[in-house]
Amino acid sequence: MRFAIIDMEGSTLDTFDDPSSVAAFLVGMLQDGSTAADEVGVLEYKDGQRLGPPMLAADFLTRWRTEHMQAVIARALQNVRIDSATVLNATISGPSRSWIDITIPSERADALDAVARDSRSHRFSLAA
Amino acid sequence: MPPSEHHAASRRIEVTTKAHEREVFRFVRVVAVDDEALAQDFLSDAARRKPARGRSAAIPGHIDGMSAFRTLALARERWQDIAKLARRRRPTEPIKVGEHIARVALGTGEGFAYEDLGHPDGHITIWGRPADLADAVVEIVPAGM
Repeated sequence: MRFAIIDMEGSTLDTFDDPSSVAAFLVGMLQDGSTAADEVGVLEYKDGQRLGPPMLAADFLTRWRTEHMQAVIARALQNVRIDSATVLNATISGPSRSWIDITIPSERADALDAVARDSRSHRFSLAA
Repeated sequence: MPPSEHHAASRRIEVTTKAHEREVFRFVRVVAVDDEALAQDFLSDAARRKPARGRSAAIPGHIDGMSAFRTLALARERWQDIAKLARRRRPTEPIKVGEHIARVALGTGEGFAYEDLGHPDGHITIWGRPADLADAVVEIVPAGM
């Protein structure tokens, strides 16, 4: 996979092989205030061929954050041995986004017990 | 990732021999080769006070160049991408880079240079004095198909 970051003048500002580096570049650029999220686009390539339409930076970052969050949650659930099919809802939260709030059915309280034993870095809530 | 690790060393080629001559394609706002304003479309990124990003920030002198494309087809593809992004922002927004593409013949002895990293999007960087680059324009064609 390859990503090209372009501006509205047609220039390729940079290229990266992974979406996390693209996101870091875009966030850095947006944070310095000289560029707005709708002044930059991202093109995606695979094996030299274009994939899909151009994305505005804001759209790319939204997609990336969603995918990134899902991957982080999936890893966390795996670590505490909760089947993701059991989980009703999961979100990343906390002051440094280091917690994961998950909601599981009350009849699966046994799963919560397992979590409590195996992890102190996650926060959980039971469904009513 | 620091630019020095991420960016390949400069592969700038000075057009000093016949073997280095090539055609490149650049977006322009004017529609006629003899339009005196054409040179304005060949101002470098630095002259247009464009912020240095990516390779321009990492490679000294890169920002004294400007964007162009390897082929007309790839220039048109990029123009369509810009048009789609612009429409996504505002449906009636004009395309900032103009609606035409200049075919530029980078010949020997004019101080021209280029860097083609072989990226699939066809984007390359060219260097030259604005007036000389404008003089090197062979034709101007519509960017849209």
